[in-house]
Amino acid sequence: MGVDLPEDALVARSRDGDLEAFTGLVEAYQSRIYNLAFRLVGNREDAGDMAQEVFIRAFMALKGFKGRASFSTWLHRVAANVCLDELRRRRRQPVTSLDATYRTSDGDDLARQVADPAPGPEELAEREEVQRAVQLGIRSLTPAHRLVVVLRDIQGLTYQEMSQALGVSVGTVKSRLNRARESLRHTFAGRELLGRAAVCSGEGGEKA
Amino acid sequence: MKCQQVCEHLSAYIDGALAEPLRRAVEEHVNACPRCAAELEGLRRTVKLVASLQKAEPPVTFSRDLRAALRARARRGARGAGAFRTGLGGLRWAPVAAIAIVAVLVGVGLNSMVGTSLKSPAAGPPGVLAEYGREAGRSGEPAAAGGASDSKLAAAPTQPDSSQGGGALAPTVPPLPGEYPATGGLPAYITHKVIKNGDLAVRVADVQDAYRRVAFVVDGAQGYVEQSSVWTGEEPVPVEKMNEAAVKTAMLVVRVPGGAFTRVMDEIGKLGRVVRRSESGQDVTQEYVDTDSRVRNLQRQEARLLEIMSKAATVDEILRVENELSRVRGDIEMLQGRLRYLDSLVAMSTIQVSLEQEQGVPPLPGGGHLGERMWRAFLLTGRAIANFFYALAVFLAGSVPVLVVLAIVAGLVWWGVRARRRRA
Repeated sequence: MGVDLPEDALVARSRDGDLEAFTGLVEAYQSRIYNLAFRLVGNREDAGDMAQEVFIRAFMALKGFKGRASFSTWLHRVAANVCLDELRRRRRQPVTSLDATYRTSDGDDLARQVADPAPGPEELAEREEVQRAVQLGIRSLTPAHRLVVVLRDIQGLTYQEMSQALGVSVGTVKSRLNRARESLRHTFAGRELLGRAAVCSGEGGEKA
Repeated sequence: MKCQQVCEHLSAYIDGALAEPLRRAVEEHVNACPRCAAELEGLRRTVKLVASLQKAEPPVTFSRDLRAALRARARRGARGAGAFRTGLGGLRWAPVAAIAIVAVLVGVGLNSMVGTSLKSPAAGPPGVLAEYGREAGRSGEPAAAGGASDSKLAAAPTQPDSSQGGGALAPTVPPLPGEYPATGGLPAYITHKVIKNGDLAVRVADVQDAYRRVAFVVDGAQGYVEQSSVWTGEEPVPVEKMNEAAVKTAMLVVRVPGGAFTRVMDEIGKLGRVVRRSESGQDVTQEYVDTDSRVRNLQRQEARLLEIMSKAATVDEILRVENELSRVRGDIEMLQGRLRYLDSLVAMSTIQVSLEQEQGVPPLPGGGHLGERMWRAFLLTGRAIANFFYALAVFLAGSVPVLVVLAIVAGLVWWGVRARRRRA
């Protein structure tokens, strides 16, 4: 019932507590939200939990959604709040690094062996290497910076939409995104992912 | 344009988000400056790399799991959650209420001690809160009593729950007929159910102060803050740490009793410049009646099933009836949860408040409109002058004995001098 209705009808019905209609919305957006969560936390299990939490909170809060922004933007706002909460909570209890050694009960230090999800031919492995490096780079950003980068460059939100989703002005979005990309560029340059790229030091000559 | 300035805009330049004169300035600079060109190229590649990340797909069971979780939460949520949250909300603002009461007392005490006849809307720093204490008092709902009556309100919808715990075999009891006044056309115990929603965006001089005032107004109206977040502009900050950071934006979702809706909207609106205000009412009577009759149908079905169960002969029959019974009970529970949820929405209307820093205007103590501030400043100065004369009078009165002594000494000296001169 109701799953193939237009989006605003689904939204209206969901607001009245229609779980069927809300499932329609979930199916339309689950990939986007899951992908967002995945890029923010970096592992599938937490991403799944977080995406679930996003939709649960969205369903609870839907009555507060007035259609000023698009549903997609609104959902991103909910997602941004959930993810930031989660990331902040996590900063206090840091995730174990895969590079750290694992101490057994006998006191031996073992290197962690991480299962490689898809070992394939050479170039595929290399591409995967790059993907992992990029993901690590994103995770090295502060939560707020991570969020803007993911919202813009992965989710493809416009500045206007981001400003609505984050509850800050477009100007703030611009400068935050600039700083985030800048530090990401430094990280990537350090890992030699960018090829040859100079640094704009700011004390350079004055040009008209 | 300097390199550094250009650097600040490169990111927006890549996204084509720069307005015209600026865009061209950046473009010209980049064409002429190899360093910034390299920088731009680096950023472009960075963006490309990030965008090249493969899409991660959610597990196939995602939406099924979600539905199960939502069902479970709808059932649970209709029970204790409201009371729990309200209890906490009441506690959180208790210190503020206490401070306000003390401030009122101190303010009143000071006023009567100084004894000036000037009436001022704010009596210095403690008076800011005192003002609100008075407002809360005026509405006839003492702030301290807020917590107690809140829990009463929140406890009400959970009452019917006790009848269905532990899978008791008796059919669930329908709502008590006495609880609602009769209305024509509707079942006797259902009144018109209208959910009121409000949405308010206010620009204020001091977000932090306004945030507290909102909470205070809501508390005074026996409502509670359901959700809140504050932002420093960079990152959201926990509400407890609000004092340490300069808060730029705050969002609150507050629930207030339906009767206080308009008054609360008005009072929050007075905190600053209202940039958006909307109210909406949603009539859910139809849905309520529908859901209610579905519950009744299911309850009849449940009673029938119990009857069949008592006559069942084989284990297979019993199992089949049992299955059907648990499905029916599940549905009943879900629909009753919905009814309670609707009830709570109707009893407590929801207001979404967003507070934003008024841009360009530095936060002035006290807040309010220009006229109000001028009037307040005028009164303060007037009072200061009155206080001065008052103090002067007190000082003079206090000096009288000293003056008398001095006059006697001076008189004696003068008399002595004159006597000596006469002798000479």
